[in-house]
Amino acid sequence: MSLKPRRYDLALLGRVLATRPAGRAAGVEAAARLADEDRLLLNFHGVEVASPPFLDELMVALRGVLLGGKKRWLLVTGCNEDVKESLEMVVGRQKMVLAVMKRDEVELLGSTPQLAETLEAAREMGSFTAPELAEHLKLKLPAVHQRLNALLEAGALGRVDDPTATRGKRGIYSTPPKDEVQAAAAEPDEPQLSEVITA
Amino acid sequence: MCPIQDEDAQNDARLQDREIHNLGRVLRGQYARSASSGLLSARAPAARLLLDGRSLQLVDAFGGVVVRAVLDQHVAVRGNSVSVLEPESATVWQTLYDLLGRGNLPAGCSWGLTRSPARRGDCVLVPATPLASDQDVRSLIDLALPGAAAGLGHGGRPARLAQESAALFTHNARTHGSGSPVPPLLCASFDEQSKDLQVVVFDRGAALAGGNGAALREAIARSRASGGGLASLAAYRRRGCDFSVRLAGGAGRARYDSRNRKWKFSDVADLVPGFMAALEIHR
Repeated sequence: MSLKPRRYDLALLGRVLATRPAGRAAGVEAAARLADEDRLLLNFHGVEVASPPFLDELMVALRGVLLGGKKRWLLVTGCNEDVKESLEMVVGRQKMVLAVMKRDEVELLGSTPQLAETLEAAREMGSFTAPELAEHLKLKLPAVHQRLNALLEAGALGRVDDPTATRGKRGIYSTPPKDEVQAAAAEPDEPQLSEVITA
Repeated sequence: MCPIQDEDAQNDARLQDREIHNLGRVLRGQYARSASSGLLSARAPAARLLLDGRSLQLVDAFGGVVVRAVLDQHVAVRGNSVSVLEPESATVWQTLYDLLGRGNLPAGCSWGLTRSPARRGDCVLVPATPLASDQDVRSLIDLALPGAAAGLGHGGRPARLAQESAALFTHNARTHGSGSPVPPLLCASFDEQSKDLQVVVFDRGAALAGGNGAALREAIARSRASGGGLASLAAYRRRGCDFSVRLAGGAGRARYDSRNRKWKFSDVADLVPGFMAALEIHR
């Protein structure tokens, strides 16, 4: 999986994102992008305030797409301490897990220590199958599948079918590629000058 | 509010043919909320109104929105005019002048010009301003409020808490304050007495104007059940910020204190003719 992630810049809606109707509208837009692209960077750079009602509506819409069957990843970036605190409150209330960029690493909001441990192992392994992860964590396969499903629902992991599987379906899991995520997070809003000249 | 009794005042030519309302000595906090009842009474005053602020000793953001509401209500009637006599205290004059936007009074309103315009103070972040459009809201809350807060040394988390509360209160006022004769008002100021950073939104809607403490308790319960803004403000403690949320509608009063994380509800005699929501960040 090396497709460049699409980015949704919430600061384009304003620096203070406070109301439920605004969250609902943002949720519709963000969910549509996630549904189209399979991977989305939810960017809060430039947002000073994102209130729990706004985030509640946004997360409900995005969660609907994440639970839709097809495996997608969703990463949040650019949160200040207040936005992060509001996000923690909302994901806790919705009983969901959310992957957030913290400096160069992905951390989980609303997570348990077991999920955090699993994500850490996933990062170390890069790309892996469930049996490989089970061996790495010294856990039984059903327990690993449970953790993997939770991380898939959070959008913290991606999954594709293993083409080499001979019996039934087997998935290959991977964490969002760090360099692609960082590049997408740093992408300027305006087109590059060279693109303008050649257009 | 009582007519002026002072003989000199009665003889003052400026005061002839006007209805006179005395702003009293204190237009701050609960006193401002109580005063709103008389200053904004349903009875239509004479076309020419004089607000006598000469005796004013204390005023804050609550007083700012109340006085501005009086101005807006009165000049909403075509042909009406309001004159405001400036406080005799230099510091109070400076604060009131800033709270009402300095020279930017609404059309039909004027200062009495008994004093020179006060130099700009350093307490008022956002003067009492009508929120008529989405653009007004966005420019005040996204830009003016944090910029002014940072300039007065209230940046970071206090500024963001002030912005969030201003946005939530404004949204509620514009959504639930229907039937109001004038747009809701926003004012943000640093109160010299309490050292609190105040954000106040006042709407003249009917929803809670006839309410009481029980009505406010129900409003908070509905907000909590639906994950609304008021409940979310009070839901968790912002690290480094002690704050209170104050609500006033009709006879009802409510206060949330982040230090003990509790709401308290009460009823008072003076009715607020509308709904006032405020955040006070304690220093």
